[in-house]
Amino acid sequence: MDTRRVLSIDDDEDINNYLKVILKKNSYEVDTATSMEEFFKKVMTFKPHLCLVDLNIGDFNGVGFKIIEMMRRKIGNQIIIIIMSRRDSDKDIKLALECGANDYIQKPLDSKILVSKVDLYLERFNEANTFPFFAIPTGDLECEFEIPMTINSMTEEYIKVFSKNYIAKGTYVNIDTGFLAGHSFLIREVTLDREHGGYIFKIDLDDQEHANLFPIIRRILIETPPEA
Amino acid sequence: MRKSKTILIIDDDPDMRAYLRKLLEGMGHEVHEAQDSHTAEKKLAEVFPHLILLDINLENENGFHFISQVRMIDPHRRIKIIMISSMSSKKAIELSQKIGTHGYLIKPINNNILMTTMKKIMPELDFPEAKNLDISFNKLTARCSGQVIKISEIELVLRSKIKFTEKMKLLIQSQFLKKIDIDRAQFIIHQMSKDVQPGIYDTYVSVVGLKEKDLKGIRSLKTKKA
Repeated sequence: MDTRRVLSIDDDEDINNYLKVILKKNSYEVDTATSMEEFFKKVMTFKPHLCLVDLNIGDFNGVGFKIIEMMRRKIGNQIIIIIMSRRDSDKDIKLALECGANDYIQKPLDSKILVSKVDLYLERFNEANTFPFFAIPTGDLECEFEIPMTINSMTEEYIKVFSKNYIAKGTYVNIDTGFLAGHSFLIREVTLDREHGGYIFKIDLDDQEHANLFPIIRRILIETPPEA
Repeated sequence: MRKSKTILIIDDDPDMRAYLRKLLEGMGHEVHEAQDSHTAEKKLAEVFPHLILLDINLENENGFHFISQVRMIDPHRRIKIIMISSMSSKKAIELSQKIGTHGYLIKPINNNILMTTMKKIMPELDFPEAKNLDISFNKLTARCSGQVIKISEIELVLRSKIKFTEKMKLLIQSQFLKKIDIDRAQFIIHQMSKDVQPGIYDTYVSVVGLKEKDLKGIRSLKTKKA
């Protein structure tokens, strides 16, 4: 198996050593840094797949935010960044994720959480590190979630939408944004779109159910230029 | 294609409008009326008709202004226009052709004439399939239902009719996640969904940004381990 490299930055040597021991035990290659300068040097030479970043380095509160931003700006999104911090305000966690961190682990570090997160991001599955699942009570199961879609083509009879994700035929979807907002549609037909790595879903427009959509649909049909 | 078309009648004679409406509705069409070009401009931008039956004098300014308004909202000339007039003069017909109308009806109009004209123009009334919609229209968010069936300290399993193939951030609304106060976490799909049975898929979703307090909440779920 490929060796996966983890680089940590924490001004507390004890934490760095602790991380070394735990991650090496799980066959990761580990290097550590105690300053920003050392960290960025090692990002270039050690080429980590994942970085564990302490939010507070030295006397500077929140240096971690800067590190994430610099990493994302200069190196891109390939390297996974997990923030470690004693800070647990929602604001700090949100800010770290907005700056581009992939995840957050609260200190004091729980070695099992740490290893299972690293495993998860580096796509290594180790039975011993997985957490047991708790079943959710029957009355509490229902949820709603959102997926992005793009309209591929449209007539007054149907709309064809594209999504990278597969939706089974016969599923109802509710549209929340754009000119179709507030309407629900039945997925009538599904075809594979190999060229774009996704699927085309045909949804039918119903004379009664979607009656108030037709003026805007006609407007779009009138305005859309012919294919180049 | 839909048999029913949306038609805008513009005529200052209420009897004529009522007569045409009756005939066209009898053919199964949706009819809108305007008594002058000013009202017609407003209606035009409200209903975006397939066809306009137009009885206004093209030789005066209002008539021309109206036609230019139609072309403004319809730059690709997809709305068809049929002129209605009692002038049977060659000049009037030539003029209407010059400005790009699609037909000419000379009064008096009876059911047969209208029927024949409609039959002839029907195939041209379908708007073509729109393929490259403006980006202000082509982005959608679809809300789907599912179930969060189990959860651990680092991930949850979403059961739904969606088979996810890409790693993406997911917005989940769930009473349960709200109840244990982790609905502010981020949910990120980290691997492709797995088939449970045809049309039903399980998706493993990382729960990102949890603090110690949240983890305790999950651990304290007094349910049997799934």
